[in-house]
This record gives sequence, C-alpha cells and structure tokens, in this order.
Amino acid sequence: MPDPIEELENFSIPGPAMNPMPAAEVRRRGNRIRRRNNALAAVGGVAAVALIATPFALFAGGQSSPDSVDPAPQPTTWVQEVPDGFDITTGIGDGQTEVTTSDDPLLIQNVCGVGWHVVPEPADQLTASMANPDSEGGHTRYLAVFDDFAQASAAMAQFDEAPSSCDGVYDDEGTTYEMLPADVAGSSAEDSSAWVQAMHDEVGMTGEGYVTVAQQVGNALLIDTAISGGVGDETVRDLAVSNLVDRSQDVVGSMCEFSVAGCGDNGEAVDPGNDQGPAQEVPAGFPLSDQMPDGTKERDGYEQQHVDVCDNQSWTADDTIDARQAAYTGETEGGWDRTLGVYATEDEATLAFMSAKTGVQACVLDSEGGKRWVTTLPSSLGDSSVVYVNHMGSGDGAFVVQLVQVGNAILQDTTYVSDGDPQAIQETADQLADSSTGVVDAMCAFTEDGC
Amino acid sequence: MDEREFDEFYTASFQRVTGQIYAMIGNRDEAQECVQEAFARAWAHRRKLDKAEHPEAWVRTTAYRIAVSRWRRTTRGRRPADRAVSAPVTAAAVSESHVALVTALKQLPEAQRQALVLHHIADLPVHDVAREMGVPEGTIKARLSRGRAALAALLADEEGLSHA
Repeated sequence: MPDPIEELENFSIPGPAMNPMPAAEVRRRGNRIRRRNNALAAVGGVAAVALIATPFALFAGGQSSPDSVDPAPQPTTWVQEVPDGFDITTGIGDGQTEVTTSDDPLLIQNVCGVGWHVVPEPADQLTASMANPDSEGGHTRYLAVFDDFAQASAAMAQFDEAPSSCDGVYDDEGTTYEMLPADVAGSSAEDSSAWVQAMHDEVGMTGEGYVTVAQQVGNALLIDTAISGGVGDETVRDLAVSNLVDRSQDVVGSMCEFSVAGCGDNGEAVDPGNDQGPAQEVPAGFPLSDQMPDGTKERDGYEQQHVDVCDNQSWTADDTIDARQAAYTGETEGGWDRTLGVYATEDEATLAFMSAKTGVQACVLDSEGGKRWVTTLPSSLGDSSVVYVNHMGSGDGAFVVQLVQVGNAILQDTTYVSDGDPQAIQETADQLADSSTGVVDAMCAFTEDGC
Repeated sequence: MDEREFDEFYTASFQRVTGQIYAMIGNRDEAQECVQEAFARAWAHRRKLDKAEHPEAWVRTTAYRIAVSRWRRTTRGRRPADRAVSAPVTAAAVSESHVALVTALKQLPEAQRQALVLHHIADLPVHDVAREMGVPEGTIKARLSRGRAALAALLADEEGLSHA
C-alpha cells in the first residue's frame, strides 16, 4: 500500500514545464485592476477626491482644480438596488439556527463610544442576522448598495478610519473596549478591511470581542460582524477575521452584479476591456491639472520649462502624436509643469521611456563631479517610472523630474526646489508622486483595456 | 514592495504556489490561472501586501479562494462545465501513482485536502496551517489525522482495483 505521506511530500506538477506569464505582464494586470478601481473613484464625485488630497508644501494657496478643466465623463450605469432574490445568508450560522433578513440599516454599537453606521447613506440595503441564543451577538451581515463606485469607496474609507478615531481603551455603557485594526488576507473582493472591538476588564483584555469585516465590490459594500472569543491574541484575531472572510466569499462572488461590467455568462465579473483600443490623443476633460495650484494654465502642445542637465538625453514630447501641458509659474522660481505625451503605440512609448531612462542613467555618471550634476531617486508609478534630480550647483536649488509611462502615454512632472538639501529634495519628489496619482490613474485611457 | 522585489517574489513563489493549488483543486491549468490572478491582485494591493507577515500565504489563500469561487459557480449550474473543471487541457505524460494521488485528493473533504496540502506539500507547520485556514490548531490536527487515514484508504482501494 502506498504511503500517502510519502506520496504527498514527493508531490510535483506533472507534464511539461510551466510557462508562467512574465512578471512584468502580471504587474500590468495588477496596474489595470488598480487603475480601474481608482479611476472610477476619481470620476465619481467629491467624496473620493477628498480622500486623496495631499498638501503640496511649495504652494500655500491650496490645490483646487483650475477652471479650464472639464469634468471627466461619468462611468457605466450602476445597479443601485439589491436584486430580488439576492441571497446574503450563505455562510451565516450553522444551518439550524434561524437567519432573519430585513432592510434595516446596520448600526454597530460601541465603536469609540458611539454607534457606527455606514456613511454616505446607501441607495439600498439588506441585512441578515443570526442571533446566538447562548450569548449576545451572533452574526450579522449587511449589504449596502450605493449610487456609484465613489460612494462605496468613501464608505469603505470611513470604515477603515474607525479604529483611528479611538485613543486607546475607552468606556461605553459600563463596558471597556479597545478598537484594534486587523489584517484581511485573501478576500476575492476589490477592497477589504477589518477591525476588532476587544473587551477589557480590570485586569486587561478578556478575550471576548466583536470582529467586523468590510468587503467592497463595485458600488456595493458587504459588512460582516460577529462576536468572537480569543481576540486578545493577535493570531486568534487573524483567525477570526479569516473565518468571517471565508464564510462570506460566496456572497462576495455574487456581488459581481455591482461591479463595472456586471456578471458574465459564467456568473463571474467580466473585465470590461476596451473595444476602441488605447486613446490616440489626450481625451477631452482629462484631469491633467489635478492637484496643481490655482492659476495653473493648460495648453495644447508643450514647451520645455526647466533646465535639464542631461540636455538631449532625457525625455521630450517631440515624437508624440499629441501632447498637452499644464504649467504653473506662480511666485516661486521654476514653478511646476506637467506634460502628457501620447504615442501611436505602447511600443513607441516604451522605446521613448527606456531611451530617456537610459540617457538619464548615463548622465548620472557623466555629470558626477561637475558643476551641475544629476542623481536619481526610487519611483514605482504606472507601468514604469523614473525620478531624477538636476542639481544646479552646490548651494543652489534643483529641478526634480518625474517621468511615468502608462500604455502609449508618458507623463512628465517637473518642479523646482530652491533648497538643495537632500531631505527637501526627497520631500518634493514624494509630493510630486502623491499629487500625480490621480492623473496616472486616469492614464488607463492609454491602455488596451481602457478604464 | 517595488517592481524588483515583486518580480523576485513572483519568480521564487509562482511554481511552488501553483503546485500547491493544483494539489488542492486537481487541475493544473486552472491552478496556473488562479495563481496568476492572485499575483496580479497582490501587485494591485501591494501596500497591503507589504504589511502582511506572510505574503506567499496571502497569495496562496487568494488563489485558492478564486479557484473555489469559480468551482462553486460551475457546480451550481451558473455556467456549463468548461475546461476549468474538466480534465486538464495540457496533455502530459504522468505516472499512474500521480494520477491515483490526485484522484484520491479530490475525493477528500475540502478541509482535509487543504490541510494535507498546506502541511505536507507546502511544508507549513500546524500553527501556520491553522492561521491560514482560520481554525484552531486542534482542528487542523484532527483534519490531518483523518485526511491521512482517508487518503491511505483511497490509495489502497485504487491499488486494489488496478491489480484486480
């Protein structure tokens, strides 16, 4: 009789060697997932924009969008009601205890001393509950359907923020609690988050508590909350979260109804794709000036605005088929300009990007020890990116340049930092990255799959 | 996690994780697809992955859940049987004992199969298997014990049939 353990421990995959997708292609797929989600949030409304705003130290006047930018087009129509017969009870309970459903809103008690509910108010909702006759709590599951993806994302962000609104241990109606964030691993939802309300007595954590998990698909949010033991231990907390996630995956799978393209013939979410291919020009309403200060002006075409130590070795928009530039001159020498260049194909954009990157790297070596020199900083935006710094001289400032490729387009952000101190330069580079994420996400328009 | 770190992680883990998922679901092509999708999601959520103590476990759990989700849809008749649940498309010369093992694994209860794969193929200690499956260690030990016994019985039956 074969030894099963020996068989298992010598297990291998049969057949010819696997030919996995190249890592770069996996990252591109991941970028498409991320861009699709973020671009939907970016066009959906004010709430989503408020979540990503980051002050930019050089400009004290704020970053409202200039009047010249048209609003971006609205996404596909969303399913805004819980469909008849949509079952959210799968995985609740033991099959013997009754599960009741209602359209009551969810109210979670004792969250930093207040009752917590979903904000913004959903367009439709459904609640399923199983009461545990032997103790308080049980398991409640709540499906909230919003008007659009941005509202669902805002609600998810509000859920995510809940633990940080408490400061340590707090009392609520005679019971002492502590809010703890928890990790969610392996949910098939587009986004997920969890927290635990751990109970305390005079000695410390009692081990009892409430575990709550939120999972977003499209414009819908699924929240599971249940009482659990052992939450004083981090490992058990993770187990409790994992258990709730696991028990909800059937329902999460059905939530493709609320995703961008709905459920396909096979019952799964369909990648909407892009029938028209990547954009061949900067689309009308493209948010090129996103996060740039008041007074930014946009124009078709471009003009080089900064001093480039590398001279003809770095990127220009000369060989593009369309280009648009947003420029802020302001009161600060050098200002801030952002240029978007579109190529006919992704291959041409890749060639242009790699040529610029190679040129910059050569320039780093060539300029070392000179009166003006170039250094690079780490960057990981879009499909490919590079950040380099043109140092104007010892004691002088520097131009920080960020180059990002997505599909058949390249985005260049340049700004001047008058303080040549490395920390100031790094902060400036970080702020350039933060302030361009909305634009990079909207560059999904230049990919095969579109937005 | 930057591009280089992700690529190294992907290269180092892909084959191993695919093998583990294949052992859990019995279909090589489906396992490869689900693992690739899981890695794509890992890159999309790389900030979350940076905080995960065990990124490979994150990917494996995600891949397994994708596979189970797709399999459940098929068994509920939402889509006709397709290559994801039929025999692997890849024509492969495999040993009789390998076929017997995969067949036997598929006959085990899902929880026992998953526990056996994580412990004996993925080489995870019981503690880590418990964490990944979201159940106490005692439950894992019971599943391993029953799973091993069931697997042995199934393999013995298979051997008996083949020698009949």
